[in-house]
Amino acid sequence: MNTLQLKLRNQASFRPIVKIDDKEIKLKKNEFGSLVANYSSEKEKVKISIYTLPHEFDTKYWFLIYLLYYVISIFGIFDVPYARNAYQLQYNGEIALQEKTVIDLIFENKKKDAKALTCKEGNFDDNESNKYIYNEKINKRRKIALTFKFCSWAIIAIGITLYLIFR
Amino acid sequence: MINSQVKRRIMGHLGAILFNIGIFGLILCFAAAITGLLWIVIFLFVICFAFISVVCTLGLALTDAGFRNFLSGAFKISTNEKFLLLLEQLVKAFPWVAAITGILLVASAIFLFFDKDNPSSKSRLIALSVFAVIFIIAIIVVPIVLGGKA
Repeated sequence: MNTLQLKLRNQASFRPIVKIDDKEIKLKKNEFGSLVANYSSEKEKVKISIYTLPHEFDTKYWFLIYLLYYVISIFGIFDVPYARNAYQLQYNGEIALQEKTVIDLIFENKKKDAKALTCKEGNFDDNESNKYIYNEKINKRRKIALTFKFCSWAIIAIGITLYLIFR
Repeated sequence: MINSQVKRRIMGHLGAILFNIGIFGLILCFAAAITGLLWIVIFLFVICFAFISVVCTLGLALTDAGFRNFLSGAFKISTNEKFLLLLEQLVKAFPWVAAITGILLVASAIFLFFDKDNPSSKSRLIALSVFAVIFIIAIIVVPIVLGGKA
């Protein structure tokens, strides 16, 4: 049986998801705050994908989703702030498994098209998919959502004021 | 269509919103509970304040008319009409607020559970379990206190 111990460091601002052979692997935090995943297989080579959880504004129906939040949170009063991270990672590669394989990866600082993962230990398939993808749409949509919220508040405030004056 | 990863994030976000509304409800519940106990608190506070003032000034405070007016005014608060009306309204609303808050917090826990890998959702779930205990205590304690008063 071949085993793999995967360590992900400096991942605080991301929510990485690891899939090995298209199966999501559970990540556990160790005492240093890094994420650790253990995997065992009879295979000698496995497919691995490390990616970040997509933003809610990165969908076709983002405004409908936002409106749902807006209504449920009573005009956005009880809403929580939206994630500002517009950087995404979609790494896909292969790992050769041995009896005891250890791979130690570090998330690099976010920069457009910069390398996302650096290997500190083990054999890592460093290919083209190992880079940050900057999604400008997310920031744009976040700004639209905020503008909508503040404009609606202004309209409500004006409405209440006019009602109080002319009632 | 929305993929399952985004669904997970949406669930977490909805859970967080319901959590925030639930906390507000919890504060309202405690406002009802505290208002019920407020007259006791005010009474004890005024007695303590009067006792300390009289002891520290060797009884001279009682000779001051302003101090005597303050004391009698403070004792009148517990029989104030507006205060009693507020107390009545809060006590009337308590079962509704408590029920809605309970439902919201349970719904929030269910939504957050789908996003439990997110550290902030996890901490909200931990907070929810603490609030659940406080909430149950409030449900048991408040009717006893208010019932006893009635």
